[in-house]
Amino acid sequence: MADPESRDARLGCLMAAAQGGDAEAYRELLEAITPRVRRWVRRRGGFLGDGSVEDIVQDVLLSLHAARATYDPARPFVPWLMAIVRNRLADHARTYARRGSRELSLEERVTSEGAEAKFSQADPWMAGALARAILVLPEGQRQAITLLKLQELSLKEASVLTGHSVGALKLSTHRAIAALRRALGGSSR
Amino acid sequence: MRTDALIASLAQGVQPVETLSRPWVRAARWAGPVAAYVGLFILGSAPAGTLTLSFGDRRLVLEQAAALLTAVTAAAAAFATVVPGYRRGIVAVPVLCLVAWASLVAAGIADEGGGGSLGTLCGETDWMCAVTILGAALMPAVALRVAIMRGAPLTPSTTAMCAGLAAAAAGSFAVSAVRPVESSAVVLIWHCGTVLMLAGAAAGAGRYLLRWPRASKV
Repeated sequence: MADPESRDARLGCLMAAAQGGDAEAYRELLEAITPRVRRWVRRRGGFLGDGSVEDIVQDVLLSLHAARATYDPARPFVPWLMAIVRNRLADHARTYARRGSRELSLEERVTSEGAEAKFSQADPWMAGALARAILVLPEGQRQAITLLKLQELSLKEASVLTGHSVGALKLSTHRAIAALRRALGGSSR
Repeated sequence: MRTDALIASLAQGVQPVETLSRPWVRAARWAGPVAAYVGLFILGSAPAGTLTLSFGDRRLVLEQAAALLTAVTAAAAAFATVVPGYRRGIVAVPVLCLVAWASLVAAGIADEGGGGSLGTLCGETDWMCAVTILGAALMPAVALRVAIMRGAPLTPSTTAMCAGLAAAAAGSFAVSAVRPVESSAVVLIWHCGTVLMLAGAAAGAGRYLLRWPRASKV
């Protein structure tokens, strides 16, 4: 089995050939990286579901195709590819978070935080208020609360998906919870 | 579409591509036509006799050099950010140049006798200056966008901020060359301030200005 360095060098050679228009080398490259990309995506974006994983893999392949002129054959291939994968994952996570916060299934979305009893199915009006309050949070806070509290990702997973540091995510979550408390505190019946 | 079918179709249609040059080379290529444009702008707008006067002023020359350096380093940073896996530290270079430029201008305020200058800073407005910088920055900005879109703007806000900074600094350089009599306080607010604002606005609009990947490229 080839060591990672020579495997990376081989991928770099294939990409360089693809930049020259070699269709066979390009096919070999895409076929070689697809299982690896799929593994990375599954590991980091598994919560998105199998269909989404394959969507992201295809999105990565399309992005790689569009960005192929930016690859410098003198540099390692895998970090270049990883940057594209990270970016596509983060984009999909953002879209997912936005869609999730717009299409709140309230029973699923209510958090296990202290507010749970207050905002459960027992009080659908309050749950609706919570959904609306989440919608009007600034994007960073909404993303943090959605990924960490609603989808219950770990800080590390959310950090990989968003590209934000763990500290920044903690701060955003703290601010989001404070903002939700303020919003809901003023809207109790 | 199945992934294997997508691979087959991508491989079948692959065309040779010209790899992008290093960011500094690309920045130098951008700077060439922009320098010609700025030269024409200065020649077309400067009142007779003022150019000699402006280039004889040592402090102005230093400030102009800092503005130019900010423009070129910001352009290089913008080009670097469209290569996946770029080193993030590159973005700090134009920011440091901008800080150096603003520091030179601030030192000028002290030379002019701080208090008076600060009075000017609070009392004087020069919207025309900001509008002229914006106008002068348009061509460099358009040229940068065209060049940037050959790469992969994966972090559009950062790329657009660098591009906005480059174009605005080039615009400020041109405007300073033809309006050399301004006080340092005015330069700090209406030149450095405008440059900062334009860079911030570009960062905010980055996602829309640098949409990627474009359908035509895929």
